[in-house]
Amino acid sequence: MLQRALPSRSRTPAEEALLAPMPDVGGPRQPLLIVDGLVKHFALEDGAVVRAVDGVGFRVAKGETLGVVGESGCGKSTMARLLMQLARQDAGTLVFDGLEVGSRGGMSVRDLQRSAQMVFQDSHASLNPRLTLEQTIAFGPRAAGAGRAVARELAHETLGLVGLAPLVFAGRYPHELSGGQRQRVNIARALAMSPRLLILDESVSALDKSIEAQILNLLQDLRERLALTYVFISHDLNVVRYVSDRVLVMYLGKVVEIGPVRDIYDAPRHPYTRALLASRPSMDPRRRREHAPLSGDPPSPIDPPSGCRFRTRCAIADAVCARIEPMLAQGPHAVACHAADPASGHPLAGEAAPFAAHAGVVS
Amino acid sequence: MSKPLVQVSDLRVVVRGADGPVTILHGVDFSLEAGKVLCVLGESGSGKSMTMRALMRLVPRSATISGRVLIDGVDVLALRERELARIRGSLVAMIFQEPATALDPTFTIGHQIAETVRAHEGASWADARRRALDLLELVQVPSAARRLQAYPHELSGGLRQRAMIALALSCRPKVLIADEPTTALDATVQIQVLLLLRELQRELGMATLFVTHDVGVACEIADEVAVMYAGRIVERGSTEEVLGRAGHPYARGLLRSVVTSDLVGTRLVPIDGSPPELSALPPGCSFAPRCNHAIERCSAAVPELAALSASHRVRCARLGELEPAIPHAQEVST
Repeated sequence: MLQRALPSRSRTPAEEALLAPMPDVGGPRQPLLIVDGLVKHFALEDGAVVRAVDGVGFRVAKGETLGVVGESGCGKSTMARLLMQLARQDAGTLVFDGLEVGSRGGMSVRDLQRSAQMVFQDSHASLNPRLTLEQTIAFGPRAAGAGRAVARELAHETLGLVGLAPLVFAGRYPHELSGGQRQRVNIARALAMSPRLLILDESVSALDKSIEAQILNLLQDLRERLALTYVFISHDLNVVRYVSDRVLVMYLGKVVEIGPVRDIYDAPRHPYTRALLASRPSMDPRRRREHAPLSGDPPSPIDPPSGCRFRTRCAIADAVCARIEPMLAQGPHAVACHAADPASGHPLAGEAAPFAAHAGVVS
Repeated sequence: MSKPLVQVSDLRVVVRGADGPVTILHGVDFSLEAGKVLCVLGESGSGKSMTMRALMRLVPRSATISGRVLIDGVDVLALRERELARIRGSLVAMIFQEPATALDPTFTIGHQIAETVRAHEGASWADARRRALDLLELVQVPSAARRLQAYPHELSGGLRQRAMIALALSCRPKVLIADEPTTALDATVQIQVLLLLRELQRELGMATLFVTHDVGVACEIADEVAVMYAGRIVERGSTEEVLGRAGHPYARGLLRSVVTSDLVGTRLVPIDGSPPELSALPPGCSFAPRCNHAIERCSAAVPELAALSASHRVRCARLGELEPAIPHAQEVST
């Protein structure tokens, strides 16, 4: 937990509450987050509907990192906004540490927005250029009811936590920082609310590689030190593999596969996951990729294909795939694919390794 | 060895900043033969994009270029404005990271390609349109005839990038400059475009200069690699030499920072600090303040690009004193 060396004489109850994360009410076995049946559609002017998130469910255990991967338009950023309740879902529920968000007797959206914090991709656009770093970081605690002195202390403490000496940086403005330093400030700002869950939406994607490694190390340290839980959204499959305990793969608003990181990377079961992994550059100039596993771009989430949404790009699609939407199976390593379900009627469903001959190279 | 198609020597670019002139490029040298791909690898602000723009003299008005750029015998820096327009597109063509902003939104793809062919080759509209169709087929755009009638916004990101490649190839350039052409694409589309560029480059025998920050992309496409830092090439050589046996501490650090599956469960070894301000470069080696191996000598003078082998060159004052390079995947454990 954060080390609180603040004078205790004059703290208000709001300040006391801000100085520590909200208490663990559900115990260690209660998932920190349960997402069930989450749906968010956007209506366009011409009457079309973007099915950005279309029935997504998963759990995040306390202290783990859930990686979320998928291509543009798969709904990963919309999902992040729903988890933060920056957008309201059309259907579905969020349960945070056993308490349903936004329901009577559950957890208020305001409390969720303190317990969960978000770090965005664009470190520059997410900071107010007219505020000093101290003002920026203190803004959240002030809005949550902290007095000037306590908010200031919080700002200094969290700057220290992210490796920026408070005496040097507190009075600086965002334009005086490098990209890596700005992203540290964004992390400090999130930490100032004493969150339990951090949602990292492409938080390291815009950074240069040498700086990305610094921030990834920092995130790993903070997770341990502050007992945080992460939802780590990224298009970089190698980075997701490095940081995650479990991985969720999205395609056109749906979860197609979820499981422990090793299972997903070493034994992917959905044809899309396999193709995504096989699309990574080889990292060895002597063993270059000879074939692209998929052709074309991901289709638009407006008017997605019937049945399985991946079938239009899938090498093993069958008639059943167009007719019936595959459901995400139960279990720790779950996949939504007819070919993995012996009862589906897919011709390859009985085979032990139905994709091996069809899905191309997977390293 | 055939005569290089592109020869760049002592290329310097200085721009007027608010507080006086800022040197963006400090004397860049390289050469490239026809049919080869040189990847310029570097982080933001390293000068990799400016180097490419300087080759076509696509630099801001406030910038002054000096040095020598010879492309197929043409002294680019000596050309007059009017003559420049003739080589842009026909001798050297460029593709950019964002096809959405590089294409004109108000004309169809077919019109934009045909217009270029007409302007450079004086072809009739009918011939130019036929050539546009051939080009879209060459870059493997499905239902090419229909796509000629499409406006850029009607195409997906991958198709737009293919259309831009078609546009770049429309006047049969001898040199293709590609500035992060796959960075904005999705993973499954990026590999398609990389394979296409590799195939086209082989078929058409162009010399290709490929700017990227992504080591994996360089592994897929490069014959040779040049690593830039703070406006200088700090290492160059064959892909195997630079990516497999990097000699410069910055290049080694960069390769070590790339997260690969080998690193799961280990702590990453980043390069400390951040790149220097170009307006206030440290004396001597620009990387010295971030370098674990730096000694006094490093700040005395800018090291020369010294030869490690016939093709492998490294700009480090302590070259030969450092541990021999080991493949970067294993270097992590040290």
